[in-house]
Amino acid sequence: MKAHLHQKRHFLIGVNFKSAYLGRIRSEMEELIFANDSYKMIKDGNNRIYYTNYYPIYGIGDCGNFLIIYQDKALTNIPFSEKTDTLAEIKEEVIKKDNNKVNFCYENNEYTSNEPEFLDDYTRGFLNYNTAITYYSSRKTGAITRNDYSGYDYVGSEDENVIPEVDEIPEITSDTASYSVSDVSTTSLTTDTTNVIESETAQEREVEQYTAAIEDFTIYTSFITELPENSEIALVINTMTQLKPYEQQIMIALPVSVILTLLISIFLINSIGHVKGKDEIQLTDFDKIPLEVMLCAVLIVFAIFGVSIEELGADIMVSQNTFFTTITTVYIIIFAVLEIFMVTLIARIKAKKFLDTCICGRLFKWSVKILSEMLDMIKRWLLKIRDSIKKTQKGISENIKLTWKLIGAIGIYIIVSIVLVGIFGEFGVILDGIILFYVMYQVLARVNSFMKLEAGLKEIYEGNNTIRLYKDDFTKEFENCVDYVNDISNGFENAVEESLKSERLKTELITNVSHDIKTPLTSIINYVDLIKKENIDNDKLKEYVDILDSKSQRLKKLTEDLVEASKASSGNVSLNLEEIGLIELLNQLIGEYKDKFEEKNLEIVTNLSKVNIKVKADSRYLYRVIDNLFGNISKYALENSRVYIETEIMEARKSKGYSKKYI
Amino acid sequence: MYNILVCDDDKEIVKAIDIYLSKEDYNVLKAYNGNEALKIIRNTEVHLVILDIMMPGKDGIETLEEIRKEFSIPVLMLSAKSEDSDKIIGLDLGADDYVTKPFNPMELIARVNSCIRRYTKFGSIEVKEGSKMYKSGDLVIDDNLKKVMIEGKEVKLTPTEYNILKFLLKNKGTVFSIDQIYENVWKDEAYAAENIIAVHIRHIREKIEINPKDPRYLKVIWGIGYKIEKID
Repeated sequence: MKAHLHQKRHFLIGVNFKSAYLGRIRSEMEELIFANDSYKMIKDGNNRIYYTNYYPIYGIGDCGNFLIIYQDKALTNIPFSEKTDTLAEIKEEVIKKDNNKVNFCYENNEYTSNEPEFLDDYTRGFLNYNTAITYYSSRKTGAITRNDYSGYDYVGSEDENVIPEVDEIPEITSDTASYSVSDVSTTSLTTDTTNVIESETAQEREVEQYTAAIEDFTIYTSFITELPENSEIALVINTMTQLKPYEQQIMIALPVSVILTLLISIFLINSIGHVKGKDEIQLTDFDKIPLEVMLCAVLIVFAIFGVSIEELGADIMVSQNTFFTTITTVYIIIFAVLEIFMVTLIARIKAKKFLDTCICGRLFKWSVKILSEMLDMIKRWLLKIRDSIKKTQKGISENIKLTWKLIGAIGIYIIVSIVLVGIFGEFGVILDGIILFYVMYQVLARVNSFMKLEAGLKEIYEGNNTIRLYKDDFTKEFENCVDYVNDISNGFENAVEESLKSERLKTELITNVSHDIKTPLTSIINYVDLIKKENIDNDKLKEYVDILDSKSQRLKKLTEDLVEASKASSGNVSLNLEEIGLIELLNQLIGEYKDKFEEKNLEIVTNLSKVNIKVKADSRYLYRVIDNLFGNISKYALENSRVYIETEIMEARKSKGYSKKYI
Repeated sequence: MYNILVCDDDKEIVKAIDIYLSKEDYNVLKAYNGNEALKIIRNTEVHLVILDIMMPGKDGIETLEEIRKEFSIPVLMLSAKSEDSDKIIGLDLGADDYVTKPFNPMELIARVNSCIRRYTKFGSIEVKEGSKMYKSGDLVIDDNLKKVMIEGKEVKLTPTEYNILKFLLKNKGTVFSIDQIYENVWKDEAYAAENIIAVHIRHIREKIEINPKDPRYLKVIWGIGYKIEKID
């Protein structure tokens, strides 16, 4: 198990780990050149030894030791002690045999390593390519800087001059492992050794440029192949190894949990917002909090926990268990927050209140409304302009004054514009725009008021006398107009009410009067009848009584008709409309009058439609119309003549009619 | 001898009604307002009340309500108000008939006779099951004897009139068009039936109704047809 793990680690971390570690060595080499008194330093004969506070490589930890020598300087991460205060001792300490460590040394242009060969190649290629370091040395003071700007002294930082600007350096690909060290050294030698290259600027500033290459260094290093248990990579690898036996279960659990998540999501999405007993989607107060606020809250939670995960990841000292417990907790919190956010979002969308419950949405709606109102206004305005252009074309000569005023206004506007632009320049254009916009707005507001006024007048014209205009809807100039229109409308309404009232009173009066007439009339009729029943010998008297009888009967009929007539004229008749058969009605009435017609020898000639014509009418009133007609026929028609009763469907007027004639 | 109370604030009208009813052998009692009428009713046996609606003091409607609290004697309302709504109020409060002023004296007498017959002599005829008798209110047809009785008096009808009336009475309450009546009575397809039926109906109405223009039994539904009113 252990061996297996070891191999695996080696394989997994080989290139990544190596590049990280070699990168570190490379930067330590640079450090060495610029090493100064900020490091712990001791002297070993002519040599100066610097002790660096080597810090762990991110994600790997403390994983190796080194000793780098350049000219008379040396740098190491071996802590200073009495046993490590000479180069020889330090070298011994670095390349000390250890099962878990791999060594490589670069000494006198010779590279030695106890690494497997393919990793070896990589190391060589890496070092060769990356170790050319350019620096500058002042002739006067001997101070070393990384570039020729004498004012700056950035010791310890990286620099673009690190890579030598030499064409001959071969292109290095990721395949550097196949690149042999001898090739590199030859090319490197041609470019530089400790050659002094003097440039004009360098001379002026009395600065010399140097380039240090791999050949100038002696390097002893060792690094571990076994990762420390608390490194992040080890953490991941350990966990994966532990989970390996459950691979099959995970493979099953994964799709199952995906399907479950889907099902639960579908159920949730379906049921969100539904409350028992109510059909509509219900929004809670929580759902009414602006979406942006929610989003901010979610982002804050994400940020807090996201950072804590990062922190956790950086802190490789955390144990495996703590690490995963914390991560799981954080994920649960994040997903819970996300879930709450999604639920309220879906509820809002379902209730079709998405736009209403977020500030941006409201702004959007509001701006759409404003925009559409403006478009509407512009549209009406354009129509108005079209009309007024037509009118203006006619009346331009008559309205010459107005025309001049208009021209004057335009002229003033142009002058103001020029002045503004002249004084304020570009800003003047904006000012000018604002003025134009303001003027346009004022004009449009008045046009709008005018349209509303016209609409109100149209309503009154069409007979709607309950229309009222509100001053708030109009600009100041129209306030009087609004009053006038409202007065007219009021007046109309009152007049109509008055006339209805007076009609009602008239009907009531007539009804009452006719009742009062009926009572004495009853006596007249009754006593005339009594007189008739007495045996009267006087023929003249008989004749007079007959006249009284017929006239009193006529008066009775007249009083009854009077009530009906006044009711009809005041609109107090309520009609009970139903489908009735006109032919049936005519036949019924002919039946009623047949004997009366025959008394006067009136021949009835009917030509009625075979189809029963249906009409919508109040049967009692329609009956009375025809009853009156027939009554008049029977009374006034010439004896021995014919009565024609015909029905005819008048298609042209889409109405059914009938005509009667008598000859 | 039946006692009839006539109540109206117009003395001439009361007197005229007195003359007409006395000729018909009725004993007429007179009252000129509601309270007088009530006093008489409480003290004397009255068989019929003729009551005017518009009277000073207690009006006809109030008087009718008072009478109905104590007595079940027939009441005939008399009024100048000819609106349908007035008639309905009167009949709803328990009046037995309604005559509008100015009235035809003969019609008034006929209605008085009718009321008296209905509430005294005639009572109600038992219709035995299985017997060929049809009735609605006081209109009865005895199909075995081919006789038509209205308020106990026999009415003479022609065979055609008899058949039409029998058909309508058998199906009382239902409205029939001219064609339907023809097809059911003549048992033949209606052809040129048109106004023949209408004429017959008018003749029947004149024979069985007191006022054929305001029929009690045989109603005309203008533009639709005819029916016999269903009266218990």
